Amino acid sequence: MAHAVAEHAPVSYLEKKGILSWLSSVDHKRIGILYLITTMSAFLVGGVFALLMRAELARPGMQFMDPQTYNVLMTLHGSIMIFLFIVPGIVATFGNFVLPIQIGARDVAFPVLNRFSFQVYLAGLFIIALGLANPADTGWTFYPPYSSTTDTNVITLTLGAFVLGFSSILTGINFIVTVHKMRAPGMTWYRLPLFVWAIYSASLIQVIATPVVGISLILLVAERVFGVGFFTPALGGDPVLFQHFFWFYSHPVVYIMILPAMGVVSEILPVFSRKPIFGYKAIAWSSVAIAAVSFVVWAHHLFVSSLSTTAGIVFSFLTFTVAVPTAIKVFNWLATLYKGQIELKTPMLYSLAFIFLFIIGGLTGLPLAMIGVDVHLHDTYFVVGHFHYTIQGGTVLMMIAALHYWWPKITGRMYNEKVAAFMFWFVFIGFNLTFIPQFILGIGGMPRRYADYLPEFAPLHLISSIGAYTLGIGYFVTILNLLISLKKGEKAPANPWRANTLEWQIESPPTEHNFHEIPTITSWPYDYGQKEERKKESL
Amino acid sequence: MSVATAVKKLHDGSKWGNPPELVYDMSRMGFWLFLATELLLFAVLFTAYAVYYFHDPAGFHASAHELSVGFGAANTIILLVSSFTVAWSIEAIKQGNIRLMNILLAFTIGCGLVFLGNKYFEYSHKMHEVELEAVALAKSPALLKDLKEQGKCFTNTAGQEVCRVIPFNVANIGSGDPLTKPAFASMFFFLYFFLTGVHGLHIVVGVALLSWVLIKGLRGEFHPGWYTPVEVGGLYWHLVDLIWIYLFPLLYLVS
Ligand code: HEM
Ligand SMILES: [Cu+2]
Repeated sequence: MAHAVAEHAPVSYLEKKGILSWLSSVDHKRIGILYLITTMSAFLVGGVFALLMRAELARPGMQFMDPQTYNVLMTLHGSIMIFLFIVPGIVATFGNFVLPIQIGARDVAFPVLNRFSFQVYLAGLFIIALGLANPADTGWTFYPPYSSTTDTNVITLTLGAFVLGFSSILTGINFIVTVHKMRAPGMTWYRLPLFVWAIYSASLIQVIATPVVGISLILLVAERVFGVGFFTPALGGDPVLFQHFFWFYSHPVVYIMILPAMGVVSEILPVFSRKPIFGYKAIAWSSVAIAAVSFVVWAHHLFVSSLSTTAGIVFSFLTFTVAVPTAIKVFNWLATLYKGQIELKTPMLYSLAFIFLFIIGGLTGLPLAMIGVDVHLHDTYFVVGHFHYTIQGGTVLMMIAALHYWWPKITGRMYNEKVAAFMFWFVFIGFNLTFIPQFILGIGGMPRRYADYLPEFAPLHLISSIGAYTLGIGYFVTILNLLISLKKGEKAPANPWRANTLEWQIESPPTEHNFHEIPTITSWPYDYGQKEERKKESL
Repeated sequence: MSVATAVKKLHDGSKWGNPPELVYDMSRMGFWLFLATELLLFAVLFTAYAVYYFHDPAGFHASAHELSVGFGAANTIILLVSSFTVAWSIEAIKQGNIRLMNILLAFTIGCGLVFLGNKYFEYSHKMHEVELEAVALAKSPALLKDLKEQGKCFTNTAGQEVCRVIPFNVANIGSGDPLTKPAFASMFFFLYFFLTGVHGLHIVVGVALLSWVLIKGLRGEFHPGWYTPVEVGGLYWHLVDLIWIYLFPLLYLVS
């Protein structure tokens, strides 16, 4: 049977040209790239909005815009970054491209559904764009009663988020079934790459949490359309109910963002330190544990919204427990590095930065989880600092790491390592320069979502703005460097990093069918630097 | 065929040549996951129902009284019967009885349409003005005056001032002054229309899905070795039925 396939000459999946051949393709690799283009464009747009805000915030007083423009920019920045960029983020891009190959399959379980997910994503994007004539100013959290009374286009933004959620549910279902049913012979659960475990856990959250926010957003739309006070206290509704529904999704969603990033780290660290991953099962199961615990902590966003003291204590305690599986991962990564032969290539630089920044992000979550402290810190820049350390320092950095790590596989080209590594330092220094001052500002009482501030906050805000532009340059040149490599880059070998996972055992770029013959798996992929490898190297 | 060999066959064949056993297996799993998301979606609405019910149980009881239990009960029976026939149609195709399967599917679709017809009558009746025990309205003289001028108020047998208003516009009257609202009466009706509306939408989707299956069935595409679409359509219909089983007591019988 294997001969039938081998007879075809190996043709790269990139071979067919033309926009239509891309949009009509059901190839998981092409769909992954389509997502990559759209999500990275969203990142660019959201990033420009952020830079505009930081320009305004560089000095006290209003310089470039009125407060309403600021509110709109803030809302668009948050919504674009969350709904259009980071939630589809690693799952839809690298999940699509890499996951089927890593489990030894030719495609996902439902290729046509996969294409449909992307079309639904485009529809959501389109609906959000429709609202840009009079964009919403509610913040990405859409809290009523303000969201039901403002005369900006809340409906398009929430409907768009609903449609994007639908896309994310379909992708989640597709990946779960793929991992269960499409693994190659011999690919047992404990032989799966950790990236697969991570995407699998994130998919579970996508499927369970997304319907909740979806219908809540529709309730909000109905409230606006029919003028019912479902969430508006003046009309007998309960605004805190919305907050519960919203965070029941939006807390777990932070793990949709971070779990895949942790998966990428777990792939990159062993490859670039030539050591087997330490504590495979602990890392794998802590992903699932995080997914599970993430569903019972949502009310830590409501400590100041009429939560009873008892409920507050319970949710505070439960929130602390999330730190346990998270810390387990960090310890295992550090143990993987210990005595490794560390090679500081760009993906590795970003992964090490991830560990460093994510520890700060996680640790600053703990004071926020303490009720008493949070009463002071809630809705201040401290929270802004916290979630940027986790989301940007965590997920965005790993998205960039993943781009560099899989770039040779995806495009068949090597990027310019010197430029990439140099730009890493812009990103890393710029990032810390932007967000460390925000912790201090927050403790000092600087509220979030304000267009202006008291003069005593001026120096730290200025530093933060300088950091933001450094960071902006870093990202911009990094992405430019990758794009240039498409034309100028050297041809990539099949396995430039000497990695063991299946995607590196096939051509760069892969053929349409990934494998000439489906491999039979006999071991896990993490035997780096072991006797056999050393033997091979000494030959 | 074991899953492993099925996978092997799938992989070695063309992308589209998934063996039916595997497709059946995967579709069922995918669809169960999808049904889980549907349940979660309704779970949110049930939670909201519970929250507002405990705000004002008496108001909910009084409002539920306005709904016609007869209509609700008839629709419950229709859905139960149709759930039975759709399950039977799957059994039929497993036995290779294509004709019976087609008849049962057509009957199920018919039940769905009758359900929708019933809902249409019920909606148009309810959308028409409903008398609410809107005693609280009296708290806002301005609104009361407006309604009186429109000839919508009268004194009921208990001697209370009662006004006729379209239930889910109640909240809209009187520009957001909470006192103009008749307690949570409108919350109940909003939930009623929202829950049955979302459920009705699912019936429409279910009817469309089963019609698509029926067309395939009439073309003779199914046999005991391949009936995944029938099974998936049936699963969906059971879910729609199941949700109604909860909606009926919550909306019609709480009075
Ligand atoms: C050790 C783990 C973590 C703990 C204990 C924690 C705790 C908290 C708490 C208590 C808040 C609420 C603060 C407030 O609004 O007053 C919060 C906010 C937030 N966290 Fe975390 N967190 C953790 C990890 C993460 C991760 C991994 C992410 C993202 C990938 C994240 C993203 C966010 C976001 C986006 C917000 C603010 C949402 C908003 O109000 O707009 N957190 N965190
Ligand atoms: Cu949270």
